[in-house]
Order: sequence, then C-alpha cells, then structure tokens
Amino acid sequence: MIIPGFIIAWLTFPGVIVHEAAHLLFCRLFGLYVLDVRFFRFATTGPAGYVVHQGTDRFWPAFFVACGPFLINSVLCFAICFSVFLPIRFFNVEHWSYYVIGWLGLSIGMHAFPSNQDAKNLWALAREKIKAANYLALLVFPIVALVYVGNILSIVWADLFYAAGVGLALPELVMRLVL
Amino acid sequence: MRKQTCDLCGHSFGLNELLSAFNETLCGKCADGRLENVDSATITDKTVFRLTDPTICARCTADNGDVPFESTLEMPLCDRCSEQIRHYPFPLWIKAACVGLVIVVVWTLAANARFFKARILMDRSLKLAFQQGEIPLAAEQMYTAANLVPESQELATLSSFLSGVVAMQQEKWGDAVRCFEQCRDLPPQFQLDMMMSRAQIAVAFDNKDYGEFLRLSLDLLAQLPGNPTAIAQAGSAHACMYAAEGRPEDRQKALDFLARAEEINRQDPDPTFDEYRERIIHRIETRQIITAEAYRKLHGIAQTEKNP
Repeated sequence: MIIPGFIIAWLTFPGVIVHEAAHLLFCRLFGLYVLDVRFFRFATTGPAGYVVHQGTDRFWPAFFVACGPFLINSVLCFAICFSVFLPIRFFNVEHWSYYVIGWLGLSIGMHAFPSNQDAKNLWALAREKIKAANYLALLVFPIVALVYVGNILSIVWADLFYAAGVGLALPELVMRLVL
Repeated sequence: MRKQTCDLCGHSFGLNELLSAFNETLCGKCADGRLENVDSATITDKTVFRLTDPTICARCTADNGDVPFESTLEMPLCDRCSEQIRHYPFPLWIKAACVGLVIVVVWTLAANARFFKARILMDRSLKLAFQQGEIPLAAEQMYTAANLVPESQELATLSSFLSGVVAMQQEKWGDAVRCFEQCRDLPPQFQLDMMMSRAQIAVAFDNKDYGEFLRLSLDLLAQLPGNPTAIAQAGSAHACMYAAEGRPEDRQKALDFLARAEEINRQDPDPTFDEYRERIIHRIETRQIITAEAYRKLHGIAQTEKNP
C-alpha cells in the first residue's frame, strides 16, 4: 500500500522532531553554524523538517552531523520499545500506554535513516577525503549506499521494517542472548 | 543602510534591493526587463546575483546605519544573529520535549524492569526444575517472578504448579491439590492431570476414603496404562478395599494388578517398587492399612517412598 510520505511524516512526527534535533545537536557539538532549523512542519511537499547548517570539510563532523540522527533515533527506538516489548511479548500483559509508547518508539525508529541530502553531502566529502588519502572515508561509501537503498525502499515500507527490526526484533534477540 | 541608483532607471534603492546583472546594477523591475531576452543558459549565480548591503543583517534585516556588520559565512550578520547561528538555541518546547522523552524512557525502563527480572527468574526457575531437579529452589524463584508480575496468569500457574510439586515432596497432599487446582492452561509436558491425580489419591488415602482412592487410582491408570507404579497403585487401592470391606474379588484384583506391575517393572526395575509391593501384600495378608511410614517403622526400613 502506498501512502504519501507527508502523511507518514504527520503520523510519525515525533521521529521527525528527534531526527532534526539530533542534526542540530551534532552541529552544536562540532561547532558548525546553523542558519535555520525547522523541527517539523505540516507540509504536503518538501521535507517535513530540516536543518540548514554550515558545510564543513572536516570528516568526522560531517559524518556525525549526517549520521547522528541514525544513531540517536535507533538508540531511542530500541530503548523505548524494549521496555514495552517485554510485557506484551513474554507475559501477554497489555496496557493502552504500552501501545502509545510503542508508537513513539517506532515513530522515532522510522526516521532514523539519514535523508538523501545527508547522504549526498557525505558522499561528496568522502570523495574529497579519499583524494586526500584519508582512507577512513571509504567507510562512508557502503553507508551512503545503504542510505540511498533505504530511502528508495521506503516506498515499500523499508523505514517501518527498520523500526520494527530495531524496536521489536532486536529486543527479542537481546532477551535470547540474556536468557 | 547603503543606497545606490539603478543603472537603467536612475532611481535610488537600498543596496539589498538591487541586483548585479551582467556587470550592471539594476533594480528588480529593470532586471526583469533586461533579462527577458537574455539566453537563460547564460544566467548563472556569477552573472546575475543580488547585491549585499554589509550594513544590513542578512538574517534579521537589522540596519547598522553606515557601519558594516562583521561578515560570518560571507554574510553580514548583527551580533545577535551571529551569536545565534554560532550557538543555535534549542527552543524551549524542544528542551521540554527532550526532558519528557527522557522521563518516558527512564520511567518505562524502570517501571517495566520487573518484567525483565521476572522473565530471567522464570527461565532460571524452569531450568532448575527440569534440568537440575532443584524443585524447591525453582518454586521459590517462580514465586518471586509471579509476585513481580501479578498480572501474568502464566507465571501464577507455573508458581502454583511448582509449589504443588514441592508440597507433594513434603507429603502435604492437600496443599498440593490446592496448588494444582490454581493451574490454568499448562502444556501437556507438565503432566498436571497425573500430578493432580497422585495428590488426590494421597488425600483420599489419608482420609481413609478407599472408594475414592480406588476410583482415582483407576483414573490414573487410564492415563498411564503401562506405568508399573500406577498399576501397583490400583492394586493398592483394591487391597485397601479388601482390608476395609473384605470382598474376595478386591483381593483377587489387587493380586492381579500386582502381578501385572511386577512383570512390567522387571523390564526396567524401579528401586522403590519392591517395598511398595511388599507393603500391599502385607495389607492383603493382615487386612491392616498402615501408612508407608508406619510400615517402614514396623520393618525397620529407612528408605523413603511416597506411594500410598
């Protein structure tokens, strides 16, 4: 089923807000200038949120500004879903609040993937860095490829599957390892 | 604010309102006219661009008179905007939302940690019970788990079941029956029906209700037709009936069951079987019904054996 992206963004708006806040956080951590931020907007075209920031030719700031939301959204998705996953999955104990919290966790997880613009910025920088013999930047290429693939596959709910993987499958795996 | 005149119309405009188009300074209106017939391929950000007034803040349009603002990221910015883009503030509502999110994460993790603990205790308890045979310790851990998650019927059932098994080990048959009665939807491998029958049989024996003892023993035998202890127990029940009422057919059935049990037991001998058989024969011969403990005392046997 194809649902317009803006409707998905509206339904999962906490994820958009966390994603943009994570961009802003890493910009501030690395001392990059930020010109404009929109944490969320009810738009039917264009991005649901954005951060306009200073470009940088430093590798790690560029990497973390682009991929920071991926880390933060994924960790939050796991932490939030894990706690409500246990009672439902292992004890059939249900409460309405678990579903609200689960929605929050999955919404955040669904917006973990960096945008194509983030990937484009990173790609351009990685190419420059490799020319300058910084071979660590090679790591970026598979990540960028994954981001592109993920964003293309979002038409077939790849972002939801990713969130389900982090929020539901990962807690299951962790419990299997613990037990 | 700095002003300059349009090269075409000659009117004066603020510098920010003017464009540079192919090295001419033009107002918006004149630029539209001038660029109308120009090949669009030649229009680039180098040939046509908006002029920047260094005395006007590019972000908030604050006017600094004739003094240029300091340039940040190649833009004239007032001190306030310059500071803001250097340290872009998190809006209050975002801070509040972050605090809320942290509270939700911490609260749900703390509130639901009991499920995590209970799941670990449950798993450990089942391993203790079914892999190591440490039933009392397993029952204790399952009880703790059930108390951590009182909403869970599964934990309550498992806890009752293990408590029932412990009660059986302690020969508290009534307690065992009460525990087993609280068990719901246990998988067949727990053999709840069999355990319940054994506990009920013991209760019936203790209450000297030999009719019930016989009925339950035959029910158990129907569940475990090839089990020598179940067969012997049916013999024991008939022996009790014979001892209590003296009907020869009960005596015969008791001996028949014992013979059958003995035959099956020979294939895979149970060390407790012989004592049990002797006790039933004693019951048939003397028509005295005594407990296993009394029988052992009578014959100076130290071994424990729990079949009635």
